[in-house]
Amino acid sequence: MKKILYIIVILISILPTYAQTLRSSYFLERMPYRHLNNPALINDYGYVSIPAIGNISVTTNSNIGLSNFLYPHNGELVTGLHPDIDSNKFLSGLKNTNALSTTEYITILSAGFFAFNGYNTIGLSIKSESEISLPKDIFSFLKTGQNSDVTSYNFSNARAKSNNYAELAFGHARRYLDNKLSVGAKAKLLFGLGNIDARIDRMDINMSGDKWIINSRGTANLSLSGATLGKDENGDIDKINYELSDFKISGYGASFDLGATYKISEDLKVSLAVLDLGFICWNSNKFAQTKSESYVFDGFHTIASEDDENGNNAFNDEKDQVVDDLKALIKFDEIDGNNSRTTALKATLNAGAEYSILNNKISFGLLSTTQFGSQKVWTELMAVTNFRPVKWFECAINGSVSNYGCSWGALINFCPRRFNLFIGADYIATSYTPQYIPINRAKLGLNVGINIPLGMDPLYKKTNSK
Amino acid sequence: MQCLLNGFFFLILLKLMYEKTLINFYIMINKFKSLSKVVLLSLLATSCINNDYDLNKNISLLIGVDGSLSIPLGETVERELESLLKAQDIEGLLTDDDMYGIHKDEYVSASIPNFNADIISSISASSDFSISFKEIVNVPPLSKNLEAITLSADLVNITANVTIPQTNIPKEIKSLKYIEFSNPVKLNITSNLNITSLAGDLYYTTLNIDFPIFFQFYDESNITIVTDVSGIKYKRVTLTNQKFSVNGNQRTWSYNELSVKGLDFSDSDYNDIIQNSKLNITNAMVNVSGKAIVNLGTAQVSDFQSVSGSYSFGVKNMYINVIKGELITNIIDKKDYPHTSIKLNGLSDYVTNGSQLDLPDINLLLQVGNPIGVPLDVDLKMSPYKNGKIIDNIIISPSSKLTINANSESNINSNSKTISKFILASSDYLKNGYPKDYIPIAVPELNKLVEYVPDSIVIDAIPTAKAVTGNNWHLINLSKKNLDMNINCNANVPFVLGDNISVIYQDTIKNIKSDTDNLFDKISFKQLQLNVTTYNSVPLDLKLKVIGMSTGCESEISTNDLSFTFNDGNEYGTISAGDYNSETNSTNITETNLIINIAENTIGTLKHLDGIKLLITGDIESNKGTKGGIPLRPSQAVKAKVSIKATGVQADLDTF
Repeated sequence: MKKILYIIVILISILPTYAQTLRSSYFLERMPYRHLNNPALINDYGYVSIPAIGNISVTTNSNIGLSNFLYPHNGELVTGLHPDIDSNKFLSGLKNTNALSTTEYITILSAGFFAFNGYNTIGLSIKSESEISLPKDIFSFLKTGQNSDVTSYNFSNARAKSNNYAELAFGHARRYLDNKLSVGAKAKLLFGLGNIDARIDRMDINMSGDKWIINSRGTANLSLSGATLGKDENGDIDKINYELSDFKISGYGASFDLGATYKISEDLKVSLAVLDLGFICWNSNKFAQTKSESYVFDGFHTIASEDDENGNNAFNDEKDQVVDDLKALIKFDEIDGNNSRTTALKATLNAGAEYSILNNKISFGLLSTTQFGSQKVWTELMAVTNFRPVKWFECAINGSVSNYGCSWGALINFCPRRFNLFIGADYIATSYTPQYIPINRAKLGLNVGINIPLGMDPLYKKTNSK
Repeated sequence: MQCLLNGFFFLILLKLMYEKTLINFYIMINKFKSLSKVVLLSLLATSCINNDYDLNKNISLLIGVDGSLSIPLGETVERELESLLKAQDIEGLLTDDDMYGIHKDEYVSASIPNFNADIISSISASSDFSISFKEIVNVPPLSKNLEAITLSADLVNITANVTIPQTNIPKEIKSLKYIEFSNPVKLNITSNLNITSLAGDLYYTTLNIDFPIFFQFYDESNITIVTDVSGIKYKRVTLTNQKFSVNGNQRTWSYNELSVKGLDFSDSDYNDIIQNSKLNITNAMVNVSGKAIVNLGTAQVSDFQSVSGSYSFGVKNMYINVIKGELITNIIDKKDYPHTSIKLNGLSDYVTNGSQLDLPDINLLLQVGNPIGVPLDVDLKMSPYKNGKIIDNIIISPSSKLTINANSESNINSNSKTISKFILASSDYLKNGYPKDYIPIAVPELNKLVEYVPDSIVIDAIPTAKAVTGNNWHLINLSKKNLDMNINCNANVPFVLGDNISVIYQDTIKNIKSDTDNLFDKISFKQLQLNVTTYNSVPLDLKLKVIGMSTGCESEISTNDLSFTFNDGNEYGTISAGDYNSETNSTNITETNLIINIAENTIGTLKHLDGIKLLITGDIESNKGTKGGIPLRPSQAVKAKVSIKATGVQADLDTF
């Protein structure tokens, strides 16, 4: 049982969410991968990544944390379901929809260079987005049980999904209007590696001493080449089999990033970008859904039935049937005829503004990020203070507020001539377990990369030569 | 609080940068080492390790539910009384008009004694007389054909005693009023006159024979009643022109056209004709009078001055068929008194020892077929018996004797019987009506017969002949032997249960242990309650008890270890009686909610709980019967719906 708890803890704490690169790098001109946040952003230098370690981003975002589930109590840790933990204390820390999301982004190879009258990027990356959302009523049910004659819980919209794909991106940005306006676009070819989306569209439980009424409807999609659905003797899905040797691309798609920046004055710059406008068409999808939509259990109707002459007992038969019916509520059956499906990417809208002082040695930026397509739309406003004391070093600190909570982060970017190292975190927890698991809020965004700088931006070169 | 650097891997990377790959970066790092330290420390200093959340510590997986959990366990199969009482197992418990009752038919016969009488061998009378003929001046018309000289003589009051031998008659006859013979017997009358052979024809031109009044002739159309000077009545037979036959010097006349049907002693002249069960008639007389004429023929007139003669009559071999009269009271021997026992075996299986049944509507229907023409007064004595012993010396008798009608005279010579019908019930019951043609007999406290759940009801009947009133004489037929008085006793008891009814309903929820998979080993409760909702259409308050059964459901768990108590602290809860609707004559279901607290008095007992027995009984002290005395019906039913409510549920998930 504890293993399960640990898995939950790890899920809560480690599963990351949005990030392709640090959003706090949005305003740092020498951060190689900031074009991932806005294809119109043009760096001072080109770059080429060191394979596989050019940009590694791991981000977790959640509106709950470990402290919502574990409580120090009398020298040990107890769960929020412990009888000594007040239900108000436990449940008030939870949201109506408790969401956990993660994004892992690894750049296999990437490069940025100035040519074709602009800044060009090319990159091959792997992206994994996963999220899980659980309604509060699940925990209320476990903690409170019934608090009145008739108690209702709604477990609807419980969902687990994961989207994994590789992207080959080609970007180009160039300046207009006397270099005040930059526009950029990026076209990405997407290669689906695997997608799973299981959701309980509806599950509500109405409990009373007379009867329990359970309404349930669930669907699941699995798009993963090499995966087959294992079934029991009743034809119900009981496991997912996977043969690595059968792996192949499970789907194809495309997406676009669009962006623009505008320098209102020498000190003030605004920007806007829309990312991941695209889709993936999965071609080896398996679709399953639950059998039953409604189930009423008002007790056994054959209590104390006598055995018949064959030793069969109606009560035992009915009991087995009830167990089967309950299992059927959450058992998925494969439905033929849904072999392909199309999923949209989680589109992201970034809007930023930067005001610099001290000859751009220090600037202050505001970045609004809104991501669509998740169970819970995520929106965040980040304030960043950027420091550029010398040409080979930049750093930034940020504070953010979002509908997943508040956090802060920092970034340092070493960018001497033939070397670039950046490391930072959009979200830094203030408290960790001795095992370095954030305690209060499962928000963590780490980004690290090593790259080799290339040719300088002609405009930057020109400006600095003056 | 111990604060640590949360970017441990930062340091590793920095170390690599310092030492190996990024040598030329070293200088720059040194230049800005202070700055980088400030940045890093500022990043990490605010983060800290909270040892309270050390996941290597024991994490208690004890969970508890603040509220409660109510789980419907379900409902029992609806048990109708038809299946609960198993009427077929209770002798006499049958249904009639969809109503339970003890319907018991018992037939018993009382032997009527054989009424024996001897044959009356003869009844006879004879007398000698002497008459004197004188010449007739005015020859009557009959004599016109005779020769010219005709003599006549008057027979005046020639009397003879009637001889009736003492004949045995039934000893039960106290007063004899009538004897009817099996067949009419011929009465032979003979008269002889000694007269000279020279005389001509001899006639009784008129002959009056006055028989005793008790003679019952087959044809009495020509018979007249006459009374002698002393007032004694006779039946007179008048014969005319009876010619004598010649036999030497004797003339003989005989007559046998009269048949005697019987003897009728209803006339008050013959009241005491029985002595020691024998006919004892000594004062019966026959009188003969009339006139005889004779033709002188060649004889002299003087030859007829004194003519001697005689007459006689007799009847022989009279078989007595029917007797009317008055019988003695005790016509039936004590050993032949009707005695029957209504078995109620099996009923006691459904009521506890010492229980009581309240059956106010108990009634007995009696049909008695009487083969004899004697009305009988029957004194009934009914007693409840158990194990062969009378219960509390209870003897129930009707407030009055039952009078069984005499068999009618038209039936007396056939095998038909006159049926008398009685209904024995309480006065209250009879007020509400009773079957047509039945004679109501109020029996106080009749319900006591079954109040204490007897295994039989013994009925003793003491029949006695009812005294004659008026001329309604007792009538017996001696030719019928081996007569029985048939009594059909139909006990009709609407089954109304009273207090202390034992098992009516018993169901056990079995195999809890296997079903819960030793759940009680892993889960504890602050409070465990059973919420039992009963649906009762039986018009009787019932008692519910819940009993925990141990492994295998073979034995009960002691209440010292595991108790099931109701909210009032009692081990029993009351299920309200079904509500009787007098308009529809049906019983509506009454719903009763009962909460039963389960207390584990000995820790660990719950895990041995393998069954829950629901015991519904009727033995409630305050319960004096079904509500309103409503009879039970097979369709009346009881069932229970059970849910379990657990509060303060705690479980250690580590044990799962």
